[in-house]
This record gives sequence, structure tokens and C-alpha cells, in this order.
Amino acid sequence: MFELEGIFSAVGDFLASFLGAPLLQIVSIIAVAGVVIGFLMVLALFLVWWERKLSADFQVRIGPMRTGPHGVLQTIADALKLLQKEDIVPLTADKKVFFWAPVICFVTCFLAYICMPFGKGLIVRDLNIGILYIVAITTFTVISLLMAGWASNNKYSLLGGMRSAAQIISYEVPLSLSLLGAVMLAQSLSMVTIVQGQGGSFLHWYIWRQPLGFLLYVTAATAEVNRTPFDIPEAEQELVAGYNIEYSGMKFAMFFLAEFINMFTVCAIAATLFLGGWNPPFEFLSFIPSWVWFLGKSLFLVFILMWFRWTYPRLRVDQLMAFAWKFLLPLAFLNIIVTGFLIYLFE
Amino acid sequence: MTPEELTSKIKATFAEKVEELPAVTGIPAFKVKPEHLEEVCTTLVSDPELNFDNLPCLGGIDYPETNEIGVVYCLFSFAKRHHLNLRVIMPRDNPEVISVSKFWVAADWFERETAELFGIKFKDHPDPRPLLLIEEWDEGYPMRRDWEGKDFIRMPETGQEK
Amino acid sequence: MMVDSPDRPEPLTGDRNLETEEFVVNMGPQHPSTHGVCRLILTMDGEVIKKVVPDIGFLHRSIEKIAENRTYHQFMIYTDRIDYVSSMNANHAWCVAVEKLAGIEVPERAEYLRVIMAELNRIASHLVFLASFAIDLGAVTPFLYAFRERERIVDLFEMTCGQRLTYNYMRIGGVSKDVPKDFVSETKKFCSYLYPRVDEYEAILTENPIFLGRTKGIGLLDLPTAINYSVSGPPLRGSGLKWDIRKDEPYSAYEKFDFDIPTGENGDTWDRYKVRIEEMRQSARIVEQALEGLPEGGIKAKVPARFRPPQGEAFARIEAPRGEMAYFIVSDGSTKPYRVKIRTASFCNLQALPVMARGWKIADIVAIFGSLDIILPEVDR
Repeated sequence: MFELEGIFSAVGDFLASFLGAPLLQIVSIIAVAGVVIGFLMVLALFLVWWERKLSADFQVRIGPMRTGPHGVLQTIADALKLLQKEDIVPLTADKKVFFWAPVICFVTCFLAYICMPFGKGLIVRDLNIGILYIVAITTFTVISLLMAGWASNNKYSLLGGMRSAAQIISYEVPLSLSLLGAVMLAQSLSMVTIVQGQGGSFLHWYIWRQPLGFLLYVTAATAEVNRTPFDIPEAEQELVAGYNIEYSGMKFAMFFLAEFINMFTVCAIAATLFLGGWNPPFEFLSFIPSWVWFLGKSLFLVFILMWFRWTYPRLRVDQLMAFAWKFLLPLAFLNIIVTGFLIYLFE
Repeated sequence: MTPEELTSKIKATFAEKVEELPAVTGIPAFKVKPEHLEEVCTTLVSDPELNFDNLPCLGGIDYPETNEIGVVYCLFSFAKRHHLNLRVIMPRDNPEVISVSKFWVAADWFERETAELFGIKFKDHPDPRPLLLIEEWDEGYPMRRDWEGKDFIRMPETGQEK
Repeated sequence: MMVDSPDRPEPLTGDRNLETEEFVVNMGPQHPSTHGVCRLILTMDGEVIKKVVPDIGFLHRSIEKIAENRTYHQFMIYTDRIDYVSSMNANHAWCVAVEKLAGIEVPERAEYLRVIMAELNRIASHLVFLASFAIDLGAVTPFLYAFRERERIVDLFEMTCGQRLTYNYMRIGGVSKDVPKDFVSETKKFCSYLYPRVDEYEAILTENPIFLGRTKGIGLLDLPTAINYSVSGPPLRGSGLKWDIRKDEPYSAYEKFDFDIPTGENGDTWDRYKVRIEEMRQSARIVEQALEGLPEGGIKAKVPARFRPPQGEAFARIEAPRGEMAYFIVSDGSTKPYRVKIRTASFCNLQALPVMARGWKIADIVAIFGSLDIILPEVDR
């Protein structure tokens, strides 16, 4: 009864009973988009609150407590505050680019969810090149960060934009390569097939066959979403706020929320490819709805990323590049070669 | 070197170029004429027995009664572990002295500070911009004893009412 | 934040594509990692720093002029404001200088209490350094940990003199009041609490590869340069000189205590950090010894309210947490000093920043600046 698939199909049947086929198509697309975006917005708000609470825990504080029980409404209050803020555009900024940068950032972070398997049958479109599509679409973030850094006409944001371009392009390579191992095991680029390939018990999860790939992915993904210790594009102590230094009000909120949604995206990919996606760890636990497993695994990885952030110092920009090209990339290649060899050997 | 040894050594080295002053809490103090400062400092740094490698403190001092203004150099030697107090006294109208920042780089900022607060000119200073005061400062040299500022109220000497 | 012309530069065309252009970045006065209002004008080639010009004076209050206008007793509260992170030490320096000038004998108990307070304040100051240094490197959490420990020291001070930041505890000839009954036991408790905490910081930072990568070999300051720049305190010891005024020119009661002077080897950012960490342990040792041997007796020598030191001059320096703090006092025999020159460690240490930062990256200058542990009111006075 908690499987959302049934609810969605019931709603679909209900709509189909009085709508014509073309109209149904449009209505269902809008409805699905609404549900996904709504879910992600709530999730982002939750993640912001969770991060604040977690950091407070790590730092022997209590964090936000005033707005709602344990401050759960704090991010909503913050978002409302940001909505009312004046939208300041620097005099010398490139106005058009300045406007479009947060929009692109915000929109592209939702696009990855088109082929994200939230649960059994809970997927918007099961593209046969799913993982390739996701990797391609998440790279769009760099364009928006670069646009923001350039358009602000501020030296700090320009440095931040350049840093993020260099960083994301560098880490994109080991990130994609580390995913290849799992793809080779599943013999498919489709997210659903990859998840189904890991069914059964938790021993079938690809993390056991791809431990190196998993570690490489988590490391590269941390860099990909600009989290400490790889948060150099917005390094507060050096660049004040990096690419978004000149942004205020809703535009800033868009960057901010997009950052959290991106963080969830990379964790959801890791959960899908390495931790069995929506599969329960044991067969007898399958009474728990599949989307709960998916969310739980993703949020656990989000927790790990947050843990990193509140523990580690930050790397320097050249150390970061050296780490990507001299350490992660050779390991990623090694991982692919070993995986290919083992697959050839056992199958 | 003990202060006594240092005193006699300096007297022997510089003869009439220096003039002994009362010691500053055990630290030998000498007065140097501005024109001799460069020569004295060169010897103080290069003489292996004196070897003053460190300049912990440099500051100005103003004597309006005698119409004189001075610069005090507190010197120290890490190698020999001894202190020396040098001072240069100049007429107050157009005080000018050589910059010692070529001997001790630390003097750079000290001299910039002294220059803008006391109005002492340091010749050959590598970077003679003002240091502490605002750029558009035009109220004279605030550390001089007779300086009168807009908001500056001189406190009466306590204990005189009795 | 634009220093040069706000106009957009000409678009790059033709051969200019390969040229790199130096640009000027204005870091501060309002910047998260300048530790106060200090402005650094950076000339950069991409991420690499070509030149640093510190611009100071935003906090200049002309404390030296104020000193000429206050009595010796009255000036005590201004010394608090020179270095508000370790105002006990700033108090102490003024007391030592004036007592030297007037030849005042301080009761032994007062000297011990001064040492205890100065060393506790040194620990507190180094904890603030640790906190801000970790933040400078991007690790936010140690900040809160260090402040949790500092809070306990501040509580001890509050217990003694009722103040939490500008203590104004010491007096010429002694201290203002005796410590309360349970101060000794509480401080002992704190010392035994501190050692494992310092170990914990070492575990979270000193052994962290990212931290090592960010600090080892960064911002080198060799010893001759350090001495020529009058660098003092932990940066000087980090460059390898075993020099501590508490040991080499003992004042107060320091010659009675047994402690080590930690030194570094390379004069890099890591050495300066490590020296401070070790100094916290040594300070706790001194505090324990002083508590153990705390003598009974008076806490203040007789100094008249209209205190007139004899005509003369005095130069006294002490080892403050940031380095050497010295007062040069000229007295004309009145109740107010004729001239006070305050030599502060941060002023000289900051001057060495351009040498240390040249050629490093913008992220490194934050680490180097943090490792010097500058307090801006002390620079500007």
C-alpha cells in the first residue's frame, strides 16, 4: 500500500478515463514534472536543514531551534527571506549572462531526474542510455558557474568561475570512468537494468565487485558538486564566495538549492550504480517500499559527503588538479582494465 | 657582552661620534649626530663583536622646550645577546635623518610610522608612503607634544589641585 | 572590489590569446580571512601571487598619544585594547615596564598570579589561533572545539576579575584582586582537561594529509630574514631559533619554572602551527607549577594613587603569545608618561608577510597570514 507506483497508475487511469490521448500526454508530462520538481524542492529544503543540524552536531552546538520543532521550518523561512530580498545586479555586470547563469544552474539540476529510478517502476523515462545522459546533463552546471563568474565582473567570482571550470572538467573524467565498471557489469547503460542487475541480496550490489570504482566515484563526485575538501570554487576564506559573490536574493537561492540538489543527484547515482538502487538488502525486507530504500541509501551517502565537509580542510587548487590527473585517473583506468579482465575470465 | 663592556667598546670604536647618555634600565644609551648615523650603524651591524642583527623597536620623541626632535633606536643582537639604545637628536624645524631600513628591514614600517606621526623625514627610505593615518590627513603631526587636534583635549595633571 | 578601472577590458584577439595579464586583487579590508580590518593588495598572475602590499591603519587609535594624556594607572585599560585576544599579557608588559622604570618590588604572590594569568591567556590566545587557522584552511569544525576550551579559560578569568575579554586585572605593583577560593582547584582541573584536548586537535589536524599538504613547506621564512624583519614569537621559533624572552631574559617569576621552548626546523607554516600547539602544553605546565608553588602573602606593592615615577627611561619587553611586546617609556617625573612607544609583535610580523607570500598561490596567502596570527588592533594601535 506504500508503493507509490500503484498510486501513480491509479491517477493515470483516472485521468485517462475522461481525457483524450494527446491531452493525456500533455497533462501527464506536466503532472510528472510537477511531482518530481516538488519532491526535489522539498528535498533540497530538507537537506539544507539537515546539513545545518549535522554540522551543529559535529561542532557541539544545537543548530537552528526556533522555527518549528527543532528548526525544521528554518530553511523555508530562509527561502522566504531570500525571495523578498532586493535583486542587485552589479553596474558593470553582463546583464543577460548574469540573469541566465542561475537559471541554467537551477534547470539542469532537475534534468538528471528524468531517468532516475526512484523505486520499482518509479521512473520518468527509462532511457536506454540513462547513465550517459545523466553524466552529460550534470556537466551543464559548469557552464552556469562559469557564466556566473564571468558575468559578475568581479575578480573573485572570475577566479571562482575559472576554478570551477577547471575542477569540474578535470573530475568529470575519473567520474565517468569510475562509472564504467558498473556499466560493464550490467552490460547496459539503462538505469533500470543496472538496478535490476543488483537484485536479490545485498551481496549482489556492485559495490562488492567495484569497491575501487565506488571509492573513486564518491571522491570525484565530492569534487563534482564542489563540496569540502574540494570546494575551491567558492572557497570562503580565499574567494569570499567565489562565483556567486555578486548574487543576492532569489538568484542566490537558486544557486544554493541547486548545489544541494546536485549533491543529492550524485549520491542517488552512486546508490543506484553501486548500492543496489531501490533493491532491499535482504529479500525478506521487500515489504518496505522500494523508494524508501532508494531514498535511504542516497541520504546515507549525502550524510557521508556532509561528514567530509565538516571534518576536512580544503585542498589547494593545484593539489586538487594533481589529485585528479595523477591519482584518480590512473586508478580509474586500472579499475576498468581489471574489471574487463575479470569479466572476460569468469563469463 | 655585558653592558659595561659594550659601553667601553662603543666608546672606543666611535670615539667622539657618539655621546653617552644615562643608561635605559641597564641598557647602554648613546646619542649620535644625524650625519654620523649611517657610519655608526654600518659598524654596529658589521663589527663581529657588536653584531647588532635585530631592531626590536624604533620610535620618535619630541622635545618642544628645547626645540629638538629625536629618533630612538632600540637595538639587539641575537648572536651576542646584548642591547643598545641609540638616539638621534635633530632640530625640530626640518628634521631629517638617514633611513636605517637598509641595515634592518624592520625599520621600514617603524620609520614610515614615525615619519607621519612626528614629521621626521627619512632620507633614502624605500617606500615613503604614510602608513597608519588616513590618506587625506592634513592635521599635522599628531605625536608631537604641542599638537592640537579638533577633538583632542589635554588632561590636566592630576594631583595638582591639592 | 575592483581596484583598477571598472571598464570591461578589450576582448582578447589574435596573439593576445596566449598572453597572461597580471591583475590586482584587493583582499580586504572586509574579507573573511584577514582577521580584522587589514587590506592586502595582491598582484596576481592567475592564481599565483606576484606581490603583496599590506595596507594597515584602519584601526589606528593613536594609543601612544593617549598614553601621554593619561596617568600610569589610567593607561592600564588601554593596554587591554592593544591586544584584546591576550590582554593579560598586554597588561603584564605595561606593568613590567613601569615597575622597571620606578624600581617597584612586586610581592611574590602577585608575580605568580601574573604568570598564571599570562599563561592561561597564552593558551586562550593560541586556541583562537588554532580556531582561525583551521578555518583559514577550510576546516570549520575545529573552530568550535577551540572556542569551547577557550570558554573555560574565560570563565576562570571572569571568576577572578569579572571580565571576559578586556581583563584589566594587573596593577602597577601587583594585581587588582586575589583569586577566589576555588580558582586553584578549577584551574588544575582545566589543565588536566586541556592535555588530551590538545592531543585531539593534533589527531584531527596535525596528522591530516590535506592539512599537511596545505602547510608543509608553505610560506618559508628563513632565520636571517626573520631576524632582520624583527619577527618574533612563534614565527621566529618556527624558523628554528631557540629564543624565548621568558627563558632568555626572564621577567616576573618565569625563572622559577621549568618549561621547554619548542622550535621548528624549516620556518614553514606547519612549523609555526606546531610551535603554538606545543606552547599550549608548555603553558599548561607552567600554570600547574605556579599553582603548586603559589606562595602566600600580599598581592600588591604600595603604589600611590598619584604615582610619579622618577625622571628617566625604561625599555621592557615580554613574550606575548604573538611574540615580543615591548614598551619604551620616557618619564619626566609627572603623573603622566612623557612618551610611550609600544612595540607589538604583530606589527613586525605582518611586515614579513610580503617576503613569505611571494610566489605562492592565493590559497596559501590565507594560510601564511593565518600562521602569523596577526591581531589588527595590535598592528595599528
